[in-house]
Amino acid sequence: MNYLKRYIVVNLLLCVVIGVLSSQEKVAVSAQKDSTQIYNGWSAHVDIASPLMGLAIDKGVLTGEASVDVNLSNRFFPILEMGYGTVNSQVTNGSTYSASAPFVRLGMNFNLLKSKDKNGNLTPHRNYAYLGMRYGMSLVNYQLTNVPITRGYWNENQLLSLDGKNAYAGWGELVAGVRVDMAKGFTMGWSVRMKLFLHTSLDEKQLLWYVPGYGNSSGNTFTLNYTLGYTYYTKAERSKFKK
Amino acid sequence: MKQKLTYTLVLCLLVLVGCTASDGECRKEKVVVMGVSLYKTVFNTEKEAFVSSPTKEKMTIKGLNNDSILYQEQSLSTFNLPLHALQSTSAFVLQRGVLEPDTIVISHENVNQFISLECGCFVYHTIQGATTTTHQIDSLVIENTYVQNVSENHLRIYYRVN
Repeated sequence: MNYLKRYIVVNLLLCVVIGVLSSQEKVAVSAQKDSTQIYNGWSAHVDIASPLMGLAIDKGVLTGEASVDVNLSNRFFPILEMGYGTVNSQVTNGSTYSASAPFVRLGMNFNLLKSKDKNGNLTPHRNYAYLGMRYGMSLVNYQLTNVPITRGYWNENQLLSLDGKNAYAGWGELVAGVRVDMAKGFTMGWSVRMKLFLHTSLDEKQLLWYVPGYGNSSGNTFTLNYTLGYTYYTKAERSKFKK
Repeated sequence: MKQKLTYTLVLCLLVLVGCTASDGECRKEKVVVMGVSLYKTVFNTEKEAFVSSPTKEKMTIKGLNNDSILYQEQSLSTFNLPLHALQSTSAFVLQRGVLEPDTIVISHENVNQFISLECGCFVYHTIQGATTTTHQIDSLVIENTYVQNVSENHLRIYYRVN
């Protein structure tokens, strides 16, 4: 069932990406040659998908996050993402896991579109597709309760509880997405992420069953972000789009 | 052309990401048992020494003070025994054929290992010692002290030849 949900989400995302890219608006800049300007603006976005996914699919998970990125040469976008997440989950054997933690991700997006045409003229894009990478970190307070220990033959049963504070978790992410300018600097973005759990301060990483900002630590996780926000372009950058 | 290639790469990544999602099921082997193998010791007149070789015996096996029989009159050369998860000593009664049964006692340390919320907590063991009565059994040898959720042999039981 989870697979089905994920395939539906991925397919919907593919449709959006194809639609956005095919309708992409390119603004031709007349005979404007290479510019040496590096800083071209910044963006601030809030993720809408994470809290909605929590309400719709992962009932016990509530996450909120926001990001700030800087436009360097319309090609590189250093980005800082910050958020806070809580999880309270119970499985069929009666075990519960609860955790709450702030998280931070640092990384870079790379604009995949060509910035110059065949003649070397700039072709700036308000809408672009990107690939990115992140390093994420979180300090997790967690609590495991009612974890059963059973040995059927000897009729032994015991419930175990474990908890911990400020357990460090670090992970890496690969990101693919699109950023679209809607109107007057208001922008939206779609992205999907594949995450790889790298390390933790705990001897047993599985104690961090779910890490806010990462997900389930038992393997690679996949998440979807849909962001809304504002993008500021420098005066020089704005002038490139004027006809 | 380059842009098309870029789009294709992005789309492939999206599909790959979707395919690597975990479904949250517990796929670990949950059984933690001590593996035991049976040997017989005979006197080799040519070598003028005792030699041991694997043997298959008709066995009835149960835990001490436990009514539930693990193996009943089964012809076995190897078998598995579940150790106590909450006690540090496990004892089993082993009867070969209709002969007088022996009792083996395993002392062990239990280690709780949290696997995941779905799988729960496994209890692994470190065998610290093993003793036996000697009605039919000649001796015991601990082959591997660490008992976890993989199929391994941990104890050798040497029977006398009648």
